[in-house]
Amino acid sequence: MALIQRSLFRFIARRGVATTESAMATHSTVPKMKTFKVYRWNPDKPAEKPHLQTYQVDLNECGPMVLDALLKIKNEQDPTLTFRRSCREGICGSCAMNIEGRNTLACLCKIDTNVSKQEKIYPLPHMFIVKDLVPDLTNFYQQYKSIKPYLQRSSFPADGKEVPQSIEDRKKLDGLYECILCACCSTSCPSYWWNQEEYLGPAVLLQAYRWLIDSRDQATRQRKDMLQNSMSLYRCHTIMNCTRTCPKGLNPGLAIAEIKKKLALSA
Amino acid sequence: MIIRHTRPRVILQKRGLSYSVPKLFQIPLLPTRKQKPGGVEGDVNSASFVPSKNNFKGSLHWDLERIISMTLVPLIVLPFITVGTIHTITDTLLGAMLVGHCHIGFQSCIIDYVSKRVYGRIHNYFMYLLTVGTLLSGVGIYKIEVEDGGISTVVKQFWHD
Amino acid sequence: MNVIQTSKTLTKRYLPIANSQLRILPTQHRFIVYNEKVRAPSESKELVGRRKQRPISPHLTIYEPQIPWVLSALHRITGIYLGLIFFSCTILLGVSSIFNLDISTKKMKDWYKRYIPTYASVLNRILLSYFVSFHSFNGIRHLVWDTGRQLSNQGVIRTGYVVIGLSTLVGTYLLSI
Repeated sequence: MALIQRSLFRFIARRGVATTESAMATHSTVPKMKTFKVYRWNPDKPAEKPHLQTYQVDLNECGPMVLDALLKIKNEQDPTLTFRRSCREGICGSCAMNIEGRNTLACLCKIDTNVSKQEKIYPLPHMFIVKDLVPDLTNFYQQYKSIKPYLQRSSFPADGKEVPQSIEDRKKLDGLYECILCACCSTSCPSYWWNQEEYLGPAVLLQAYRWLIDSRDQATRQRKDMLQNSMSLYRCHTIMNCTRTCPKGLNPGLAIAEIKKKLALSA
Repeated sequence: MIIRHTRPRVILQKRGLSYSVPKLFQIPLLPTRKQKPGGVEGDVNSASFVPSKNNFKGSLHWDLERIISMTLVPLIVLPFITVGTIHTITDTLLGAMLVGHCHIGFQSCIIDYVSKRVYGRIHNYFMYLLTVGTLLSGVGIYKIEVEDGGISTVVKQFWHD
Repeated sequence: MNVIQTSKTLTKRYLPIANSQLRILPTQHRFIVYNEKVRAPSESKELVGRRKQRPISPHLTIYEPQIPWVLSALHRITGIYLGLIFFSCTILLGVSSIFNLDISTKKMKDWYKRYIPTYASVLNRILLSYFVSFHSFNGIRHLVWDTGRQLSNQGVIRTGYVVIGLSTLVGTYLLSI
């Protein structure tokens, strides 16, 4: 045993660790083929119905996340596969899609290494599709703009320095400002599926709450008034799919309940 | 010259799905209004429409819904834990709260599924139908209280047959 | 010393935007809620044409069944079922009392016994007992959520299992009495 260890040590010392590993692993390159079924639709051939296209990916030669697999497919097998992506680390929110029935970021979703199961990849549910996995988020961004997601003040401190905020007030914004507007939560909400154009959706309501409780903001009355109708806020029936699916671990459902409480008690 | 069709490197399988056109989940036989193409108008730099403020449709409606639900909790339990029948006034209150609760529940379903945006006037007709139904139901509750000794009596009779 | 000056005068501001619907809320501050008519020069006919052809991505058929939305769907289904039964019975009595049709609860019971087959009435009894208990307990769960409690993922799952357990027990009890 000690003899083997010594010879291995000399081998590694001469050849380095990487070559040792590849020398030892040359006999175990059995490809681990995982099947991906991806939603495809081509706007240049709109008469063709959307369908699922199957791809096989060798997991031994692929990164661990679904985005790695998609990029590998795009690079090696099918360059026409279209999807949004940017940061590859879960902070930009571009690669939001429905993987295995759940809305999440492809760059943060680990591929299930069980190769007997197929991985189904769909775009975000109940969205108009521009191409393949790319949804049209125009309505989503319009709704975000409509809640005026910026500080509104009638007057600023006379000394010209920052608007002061206590530590407790700043703590209230934790869990709200981290939203990356990936639209995973809004598109997981069945209420948003049925009334997308009028109901604001959990993501936008989370941001509305973020500005409602910001102590530096002075337009609280107007922000509340914007939600005083039957559709913008009150289509939420506390289904709670949003919190379940948020890839950043935020809680839009709680924020919406707090908005309802605020409107109910101080309308 | 025969051009050989080369086999693709990857096995592609296509399975047609029933894809949803914008008219998916349309209730049969009811005409819909023309919708915005692609569900959106304008570009990303315009803001979506903010409806006018109406507290009666907003927070006050929500308050009423919760108050009715909260009063319904003990009222529903009461007939089960009392051995005999409950007092007529409590029973009438139960009936009234049930009618209100059903009205608000169905109203919520109509707003969700038969939306004004998609169905226009038909949405209004559904609402009128619901209001008429609620009023008739109120009359029915009155009849039950006066003639048949209350809802709890009637339900117990129906249940034990 | 910081002196924050606030303007307390009532101001009405009109913005020089053509074709816009202005609703000015007289407030102490200068924040105005208004809706701008959608003017999008980048919206070409070609884009609108493309938008018309876009399909909607699948939703109910592909979304994984999860405790949050499955129980919520069940809440709505049970509510509709119970509401329809309640409304149909009471509306029938209301109509009969307005139009003097002489329908009483006894007549309704006899009609039910005559025309509804046994399997349907047994099924109705089972569904009613479980639906009533599930809708009631889930209703209490909704009221708990409205106070802001149990709104985390763990809270939703925990309360969900409690509701399922309680409603099966109470539903079975209701079936037996």
